[in-house]
Amino acid sequence: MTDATQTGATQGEHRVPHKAALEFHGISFSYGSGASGNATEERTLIDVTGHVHAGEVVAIIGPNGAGKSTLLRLLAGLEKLPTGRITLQGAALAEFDHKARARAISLVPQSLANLPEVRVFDFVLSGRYAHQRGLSHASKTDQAVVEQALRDCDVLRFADRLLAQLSSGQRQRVLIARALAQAAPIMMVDEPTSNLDPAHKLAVFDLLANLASHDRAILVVTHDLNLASQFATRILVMHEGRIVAQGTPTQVLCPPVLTPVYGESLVFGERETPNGPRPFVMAWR
Amino acid sequence: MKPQSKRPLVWGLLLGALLLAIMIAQVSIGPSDQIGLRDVVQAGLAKLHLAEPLAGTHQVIAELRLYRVLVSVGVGAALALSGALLQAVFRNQLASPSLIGVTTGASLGASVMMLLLSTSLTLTGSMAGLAPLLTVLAAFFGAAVCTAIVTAFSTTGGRISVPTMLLVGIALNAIVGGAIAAIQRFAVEDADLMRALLTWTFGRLDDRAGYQVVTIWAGLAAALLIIPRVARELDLFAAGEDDAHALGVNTTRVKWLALGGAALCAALAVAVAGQIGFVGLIAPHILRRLVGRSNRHVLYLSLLGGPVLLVGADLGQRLLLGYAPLPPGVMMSLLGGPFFIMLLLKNRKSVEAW
Repeated sequence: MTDATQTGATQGEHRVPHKAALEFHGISFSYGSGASGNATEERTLIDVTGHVHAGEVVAIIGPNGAGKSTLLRLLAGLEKLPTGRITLQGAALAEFDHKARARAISLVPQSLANLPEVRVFDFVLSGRYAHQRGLSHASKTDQAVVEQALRDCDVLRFADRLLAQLSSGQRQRVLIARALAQAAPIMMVDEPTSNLDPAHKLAVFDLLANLASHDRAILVVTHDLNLASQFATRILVMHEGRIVAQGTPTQVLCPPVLTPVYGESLVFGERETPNGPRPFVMAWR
Repeated sequence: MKPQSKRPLVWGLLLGALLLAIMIAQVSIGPSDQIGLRDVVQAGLAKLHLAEPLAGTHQVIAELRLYRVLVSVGVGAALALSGALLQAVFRNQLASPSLIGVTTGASLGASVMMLLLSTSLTLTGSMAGLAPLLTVLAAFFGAAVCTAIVTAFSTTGGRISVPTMLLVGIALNAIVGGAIAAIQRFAVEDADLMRALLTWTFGRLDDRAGYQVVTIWAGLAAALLIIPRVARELDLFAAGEDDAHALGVNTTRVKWLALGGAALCAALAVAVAGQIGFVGLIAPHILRRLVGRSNRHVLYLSLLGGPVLLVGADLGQRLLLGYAPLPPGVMMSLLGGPFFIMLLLKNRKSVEAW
């Protein structure tokens, strides 16, 4: 992992341009009047600008309804972009066809709308869709990639189980394995640890950090400020549809930034880590 | 490690053999004992100018038997494929063309066209040939409108509400049923038209003509082109449309193709054979039991499973009831109604959670 004192900007200078991965500029968005009326105001994004580069874990934090998941959906191409620009390796995301986009960006959803009745292996294999042509069946490469993804996420032993037979921690790792099988340089992860115990939370973020160290760009939405502190190279703070702060964990996880966003009931501290001192934050009345 | 499959090829061959056997039995039996399989084959070849026609009425009888079985197979395949497509898009095994109003929609479209053709428009000789095509188009229009209504009402933001889907289906069936009855009221003076319309309500597989064979098989061939473009993609729909989209599926295109294909198949079946329910519900369900849930297998095999079910049931009732059997629509309702209730009971847990 990179040194905590390095900022995203100085990191960028050391990297060749083709690794500059995803950039977004001036994104404004609101769900149409069809969305549940009372939440419309909160879900709106206002002039959001940022980037995520290969090798980084960028954490998006912020209160419920700040627009974090909406931003992730826009960046993953799930919503049409009314204003602003999203570029992928310099090219506009809107110009990518569906499969090309999926080969560049994978999305790990927070949960699935339905739990399909499939084996873990077949579920992870579905991540290979964007790499397969028309009618062709799963190739040897596809199968090898899937096995490696299962191994990397430590779920290979569940390959023959049904998705419904897994614990939520196992299922979360399977979702990440499927995104890994998608072999996209940019991975977006929506609240991967909300249902997990502390040990599994750490395991999931260990995995994400490890992926970033292999030149992937990771953008993760999380409510867990302390996981963000330990594992993120940069943190974006969102509040009421805007990015109100961004920087290293030390720069961002401090009272001047977080109190206006989360309120007064936070206790701040610092803890030594192998990467130097990192802040921690507790909710404590 | 390999992707899982439950021997779809073996089941395909078995179903194909079974279908062939049923078809042979179906053409071989009839009130006229003097006509057998060989005669029917010869009559068919004669129709294509490849053999001498049979003597006298035998040629006509044999032709009718041939058309009957070819139309039955086509209708069974179209209904089962329609059901399999709808169930994949709606991600629910209770979706089927007759339950959600697609079949009745097609029926209304075709009835309106039949009424128009028989009353206001007096077709001149050259136009008369267009009548079957116009009927199919009208049926497709009716089916497409009903499919669109059900889809629009039961989906919000990519999520599908199954109770809404079924309730909208009930409402559509009631409304469209009323409209069909109204048309029949207008037609009551015209005995021929009345008979044609009534026959439709019960479904009809005998007394079919050559153009109906051509219609259903040509339409099926078109629908067949859709399957490879949606099968794998619909498998990825299983975890939700957004999820499929993120994996690189063009969800809008797949949904349009699949729903359009389902409407086309239901419309074709209705246009050539009237209303026959439950084939689209039962056949895909049984197939999933045999070969697993993958649409890559279920969609193709429904082309065999549907005919086995429809023609098999028809053959069964002929053996039981003799040569004055129930109309196919009535037969399938008697079989399918209890099956639907059984499905509901089996899924009681999830049904109660609605």
